[in-house]
Amino acid sequence: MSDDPVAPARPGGPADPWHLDTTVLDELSPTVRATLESIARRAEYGPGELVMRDAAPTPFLGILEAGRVGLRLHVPERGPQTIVTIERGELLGWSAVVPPYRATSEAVALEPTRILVLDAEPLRELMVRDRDVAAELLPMGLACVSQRLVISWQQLLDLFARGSPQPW
Amino acid sequence: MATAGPVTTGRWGRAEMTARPRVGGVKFASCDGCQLTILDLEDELLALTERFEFVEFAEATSRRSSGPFDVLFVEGSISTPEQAVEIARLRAATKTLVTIGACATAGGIQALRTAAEHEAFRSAVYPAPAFVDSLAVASPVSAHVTVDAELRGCPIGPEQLVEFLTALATGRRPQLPDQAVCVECKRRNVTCVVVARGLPCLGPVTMDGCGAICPRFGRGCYGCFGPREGANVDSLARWFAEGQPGPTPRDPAAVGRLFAGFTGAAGPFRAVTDRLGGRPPRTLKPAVARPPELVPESPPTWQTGPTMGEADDARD
Amino acid sequence: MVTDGRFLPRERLDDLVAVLRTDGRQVIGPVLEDGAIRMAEIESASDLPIGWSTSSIPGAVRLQRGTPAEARAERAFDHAVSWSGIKPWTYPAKVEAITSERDPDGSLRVRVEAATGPPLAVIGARACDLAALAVHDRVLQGGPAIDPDYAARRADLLIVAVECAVAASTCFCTTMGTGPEVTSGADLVLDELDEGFVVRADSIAGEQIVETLALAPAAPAQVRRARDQVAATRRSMSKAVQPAGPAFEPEGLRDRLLANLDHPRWAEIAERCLACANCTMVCPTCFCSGLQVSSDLDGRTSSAARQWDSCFTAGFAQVAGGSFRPRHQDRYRQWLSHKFATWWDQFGSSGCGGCGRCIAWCPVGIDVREELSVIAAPVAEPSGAQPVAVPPPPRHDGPDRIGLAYVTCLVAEVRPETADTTTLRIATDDPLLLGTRPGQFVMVAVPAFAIPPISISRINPDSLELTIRAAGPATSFLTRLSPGAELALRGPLGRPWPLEDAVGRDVVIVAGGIGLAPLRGLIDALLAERERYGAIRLYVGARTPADRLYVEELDALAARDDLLVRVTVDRAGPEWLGRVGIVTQLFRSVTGTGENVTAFVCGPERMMSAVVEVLSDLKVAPERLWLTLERHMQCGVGLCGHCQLGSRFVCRDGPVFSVAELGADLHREGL
Repeated sequence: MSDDPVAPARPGGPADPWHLDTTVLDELSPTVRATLESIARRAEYGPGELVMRDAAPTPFLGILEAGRVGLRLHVPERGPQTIVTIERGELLGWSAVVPPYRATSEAVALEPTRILVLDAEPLRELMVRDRDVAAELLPMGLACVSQRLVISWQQLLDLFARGSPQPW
Repeated sequence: MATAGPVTTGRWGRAEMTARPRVGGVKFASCDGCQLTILDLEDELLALTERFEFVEFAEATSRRSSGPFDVLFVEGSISTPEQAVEIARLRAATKTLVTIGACATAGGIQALRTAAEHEAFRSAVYPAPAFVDSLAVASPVSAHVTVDAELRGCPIGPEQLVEFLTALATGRRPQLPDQAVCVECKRRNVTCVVVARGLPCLGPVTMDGCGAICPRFGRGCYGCFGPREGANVDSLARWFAEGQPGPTPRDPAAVGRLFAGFTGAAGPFRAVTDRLGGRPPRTLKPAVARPPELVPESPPTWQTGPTMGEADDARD
Repeated sequence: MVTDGRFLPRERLDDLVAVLRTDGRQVIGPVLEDGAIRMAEIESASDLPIGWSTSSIPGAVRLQRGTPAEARAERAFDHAVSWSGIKPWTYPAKVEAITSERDPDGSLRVRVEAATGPPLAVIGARACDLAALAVHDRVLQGGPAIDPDYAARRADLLIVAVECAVAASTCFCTTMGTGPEVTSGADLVLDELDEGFVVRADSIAGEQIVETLALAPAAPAQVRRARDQVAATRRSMSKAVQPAGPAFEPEGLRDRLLANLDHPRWAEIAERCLACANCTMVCPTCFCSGLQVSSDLDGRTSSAARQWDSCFTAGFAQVAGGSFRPRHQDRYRQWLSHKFATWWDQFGSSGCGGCGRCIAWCPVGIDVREELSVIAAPVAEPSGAQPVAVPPPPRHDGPDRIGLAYVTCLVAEVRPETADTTTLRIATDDPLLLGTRPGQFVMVAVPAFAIPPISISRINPDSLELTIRAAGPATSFLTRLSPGAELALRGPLGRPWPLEDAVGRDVVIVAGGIGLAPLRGLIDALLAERERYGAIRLYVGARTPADRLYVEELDALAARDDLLVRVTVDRAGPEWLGRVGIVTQLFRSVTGTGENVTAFVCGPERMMSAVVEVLSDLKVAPERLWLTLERHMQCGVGLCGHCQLGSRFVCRDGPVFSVAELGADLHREGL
């Protein structure tokens, strides 16, 4: 989080008070955040590098610290389609804490990307042991799933497509 | 709308036709009345033939073609096994397929047999039913192949046909109505026969396009253009049966019969007749005794004669 | 000016018709035809329905001979209202409105047409007919745009009105306050007595007729009988005489109706309503019209006829994405709520004159009085009386007059943007067109095609740019034009983006798909005076990377350091390394407050709703959250009625509205 935004800022720049660089971690209580950081590691991916494989066990729950990750589905004859991209501060791999713990899409780094990684098994064990962690992490995961759902719905509506009846 | 014929793009960007689009007119089970409507366009016919090449049109020319067609007008419903095969072949040879008239778009009056016992009708109507190779149902063309446009009515309205061809020539959307016949009645200052005289009239649920011809002559619309978008047939049928001031209540079957006309096989109309009755009886007694000597040993020649395909482009 | 109480003997009625017919004037009066009384051209008084009266109930009108009293057997005007009224003559069902012609060399002429026929006189108009005519005067020639055909027909219209001696059971002029007494709008007013007519002139033209006829003063007893007669008509319509008849309370009707747009009765009516449009066709104030294009086979000459249309037809509220009113209940609600409620906001009066034609001529007898009494029932206890949050009427900051002329312009440059979208640069020296402000639009006419509204995507010193998506034949044709082609523009039309609302404030611009086009001129204007505004942030959504508009321009904007540009696409292939997701996702990282933000949004309506939610959560004030709406438009100037959204004409009052102005109407289904 930028501590001292300066005005007038360049819009979208590091000190833009409109787009502040917060992450999902900022929503956690200091205790839970410290607990999670104690089991976290950092991982870096180059552009095009595979982060998660579709339908494979989800390796980790991650928080993007830099870069951009695309979630992709492979469509026969159309190749890989990017459904949504994830950016700094956002959650990746919610399926690490939701049964059956398998990735629902492929995740590929689109830019040089750094991720704060919470490996799946230790995290799940921690959530069983520490109900405070579970209580704060699960709503965050659900919010992420809900956002992805809303995005999918809107994409399903294909709002920018041309409609069939055309008066002109 | 599919662009007809090879095109070049001029300064105007219009799809300018370097060749005249090949237009055909064919018929299945029908009376030829819709095709005759084309011939009735006396004022426009010359200009139309300059713009379009009529390559298959049995009512007007003895030249024949099996395609390909840029535009094919199809009259009549599909009533025999051969017709079901032929329409599929024609579809494959056609860019823009347009059904014309109540038979082609809704099955026509012959679709009444759909709700009757086919065999009983055959033997009742024909002295030698073995000559008659017909399907148990008479179905609209759209039940067999994809239809690009419909011109409705029994027969079709000549203005609609001109508008359709003009739109095709200029590349614009044909302006075919989507509203009730009532709109045209009022635009033409025609007094409503339902309200003023208590007549039953299908105008409120029927697609406009006829210019309100029946109400203009003081009778109720019998729905030959078929149901319009969102036709509230239940309300109208209820009104005729129970609510309409005048000699009511009407017998439900009499109300059902109103909907069992030329487009009676179209979904919304059929639903009313299904519910209220009013169709002809399901079976008929043979009207004519069958002379045994008429039973054929082999099919008559007109069933095995050349199809249009074999007489391809034969010039007269 | 008023000449009171002359007497016209019955046998001299024909003299009056003859005087009206001088100077080639066409005279319209009630006639008996096809079993009903309607207005038609008459040549003499003998054409009038002498001795006939009518009885009418919902869904049935019948002629009666010699009733209600034998003594009145010779009366000419005892039939209450004619079914057609005078609308077919003042506002005909179909008139040539726009003609266009393209010469072989490509040059184009587009003309707006007006009536040129003989002047008209009407005999037998009723108080309700005159009330309806006054409504049409406000709608069709009250401005800012004037229907030239109506104005031409109306200019020299002579009206001989009749005060009703009988009322039909479907009449409710007393409820609407329009009759049966004729108080204004007529040149002559007749009261029919058994022996003749008490005549009073109410205009100079009327006085001249009285003079020409050399009418003697009526006897005081005759004047008294005439007065008593119309008073008796009034009493016959009262609740005291018809206690069982359907009635509704006109006081406060607008507010009660608008408070009940979600009443269950709408769906119930839809089970009976045929959506056949008869009520709108016989209604003397319904004015909605459509353009019917016809052309020769070459598409070189064409004519667009203005013809009666109706909010009950499927195509009425159609746009490229579908119809805004797919259900019968939506259409019935539009009709009733427009007529009795939003008409007040638009034209300062009710849209109903109480003639009852919509009741009598509904083929299934739906009675608006009954429906209104159920839907907009007077609230008995104050507890249930929810004060209606009716949004304020839009600010009319447009010009007092909007011209209807089409200006011929030249396509100077054609720039393909995407597979289906093209930008045309249109050269013009027309000062009005060059005075276009960002957010305004033009109607674009070429022969043989429907006339679409197109937003202006850039204003240059000597040209306008139109970015057009090929959504149908007309727009496809426009995108295929080549440089040098001529087309004709009506405009600039509509309310522009309120740039002044952004001065000294941060600006958020959100565009979805083709919605970027009307925002492009706004961005130009903001950057032209960059120092007047705070931070400017532009968020753009497109369907796929290939569907992005103005790609190079956006890249250039993104390279500036005084502007934030974020682009997202709905889906993409692997080659796209940018953002994927919906537009609202671009706001996920926003933690600032929108209190100092003015926002401009354009895109599909569903997208705009989502953006409004997000920006409202960020505390962007609804008064500073501006949208531009898309509706079906045929005229672009507030005359054809197609683009109505509640009380608004989207073409004239919009297309730019603030969220505060739209209120609940933004999300209401089927409006």
